[in-house]
Amino acid sequence: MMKARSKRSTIKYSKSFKAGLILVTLILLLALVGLFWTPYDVNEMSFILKNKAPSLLHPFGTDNFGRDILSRVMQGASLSFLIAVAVVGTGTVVGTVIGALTGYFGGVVDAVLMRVNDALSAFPGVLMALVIIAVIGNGKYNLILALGIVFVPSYVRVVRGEVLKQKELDYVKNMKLMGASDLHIIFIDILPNIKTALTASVLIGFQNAVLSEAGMSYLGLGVTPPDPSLGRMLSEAQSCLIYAPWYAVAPGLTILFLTLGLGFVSHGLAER
Amino acid sequence: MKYIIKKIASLVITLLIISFVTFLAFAVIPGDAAVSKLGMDATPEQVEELREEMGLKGSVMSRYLRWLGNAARGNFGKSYRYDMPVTELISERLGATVGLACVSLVLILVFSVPLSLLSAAKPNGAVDNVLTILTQIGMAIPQFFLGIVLTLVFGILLSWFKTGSYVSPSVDFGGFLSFMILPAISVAIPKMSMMVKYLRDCIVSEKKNDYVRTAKAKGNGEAAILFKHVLKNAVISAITFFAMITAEVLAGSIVVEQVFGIPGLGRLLVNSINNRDFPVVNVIVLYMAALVVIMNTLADISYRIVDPRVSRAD
Repeated sequence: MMKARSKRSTIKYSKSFKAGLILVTLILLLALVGLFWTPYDVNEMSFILKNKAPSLLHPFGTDNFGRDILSRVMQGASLSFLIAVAVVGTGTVVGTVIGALTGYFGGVVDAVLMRVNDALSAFPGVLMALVIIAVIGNGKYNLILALGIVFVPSYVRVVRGEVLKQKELDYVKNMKLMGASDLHIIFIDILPNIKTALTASVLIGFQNAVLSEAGMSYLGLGVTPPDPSLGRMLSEAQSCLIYAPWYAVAPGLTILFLTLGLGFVSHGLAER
Repeated sequence: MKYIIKKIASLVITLLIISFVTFLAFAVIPGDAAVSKLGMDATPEQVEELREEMGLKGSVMSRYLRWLGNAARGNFGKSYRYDMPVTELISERLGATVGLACVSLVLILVFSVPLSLLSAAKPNGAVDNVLTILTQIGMAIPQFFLGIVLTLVFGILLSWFKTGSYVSPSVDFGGFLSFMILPAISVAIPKMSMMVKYLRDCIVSEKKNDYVRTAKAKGNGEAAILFKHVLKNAVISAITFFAMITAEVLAGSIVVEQVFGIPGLGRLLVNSINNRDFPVVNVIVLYMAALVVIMNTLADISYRIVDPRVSRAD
């Protein structure tokens, strides 16, 4: 009976994984194409085409400046994606280095850093990102920096925890007896073994990064014009919700499909 | 008791550190607030005078200590933009934010507990699968998009709820609730989804423990085991999680207040960042940080009261 259940669950989770992969691929393709080609110029304004409902020429309609929404969503998605990659990349690299070193060597530095890390993790990410943006100003590069800093503590915690576990295992002791240097052991021997844990947090981090970028840009504290941004598009869409409700649909669903896809993928991986 | 005193001491130290770091961050920002307030035509004497008045003179440390001294007496400085005490500005807007947070937290608690029980009743059953998909959607949807969709569907198309202007609960409680329900749902859904997923996983893994099998073997019913044993243990791990959720609700309200035009702290914070009104930003950030730290301390303390194993461990 137990066997039957576990078999059924693998099927279900791989379904979740597949569905997620399809969603993410769909948006990725859209973003990738948007990087090189869009049906219209993203900043081409037209007074006559203002707030037009979806049609064959403009499948998602036009915005309050007569710009093609599909084109802007395509470029907005690629910008969201690039920012998320940069943010998660920063968080992962910095977090892994700090987490691995402090976890492996321990001592006073580790104790102090962990206290700071705990305090930072307890803090809501949005609030911390807002403070950093308030200090350094907005724009896409500052946003990457701000969110990157916000993302570091969670990776430090994950990597440190894993390294603490690994360092007690026999293969690490063997390597030490064989005279391998500490840095070799940490980065060549231990790191490959914590791949699984790191992959899970990278996926979740990616979802968070997309959501945070959209939220900050929605608040007007992230990506600045003329760069198209999904979050900012939604804030513009909101001001003409009554007479142009379609404006919100494409940018909103693009974010949702991307984050939902990432959620499904990580869910499928976690419970496999 | 000793534990509680230790916890409160560490809370005070944490708050002091946070206040110093935020003060430092806003002190090193390039640009002179006195000059930008007076304009380029001001004479150096005028600027000096205003700098004195705004507390911008001296080293960072001495300014921080002066600020701290004033803060201890309840004086948190003046807004650059509104020319009024920060405390007054904040207290005007506190009600809306606290109201939103309370309605959201009630929604989260009322719905997440029964939903997680439902989900955990038959792991991987039909109900569980549907709820799993729903919680995944709930965690993936941006709060402001949810807010826009809710406004469009329930506010504009169906006009079930008021989307006009904010009503204070002391003036008209019914009107307040009718206005707050859509914002509160927008804040609550993502956090509710997290809570349901977390509680479900807790209950499912608790159910695998040996004591559940023993209880079953002794002839206890499924429901009795669930309520007497499993839930008790699940609640313990849920407390810490709930403290985290409260912090997240507060953060979520920053964005949602913007969506629905609620005159709360979050909106004031975003506007003050845009206006470079740093005394206001500083105090709101501190205020929210203090709430988060206090919630975590309370969670730690109640954790210990509910679960005696923790206190015996050290």
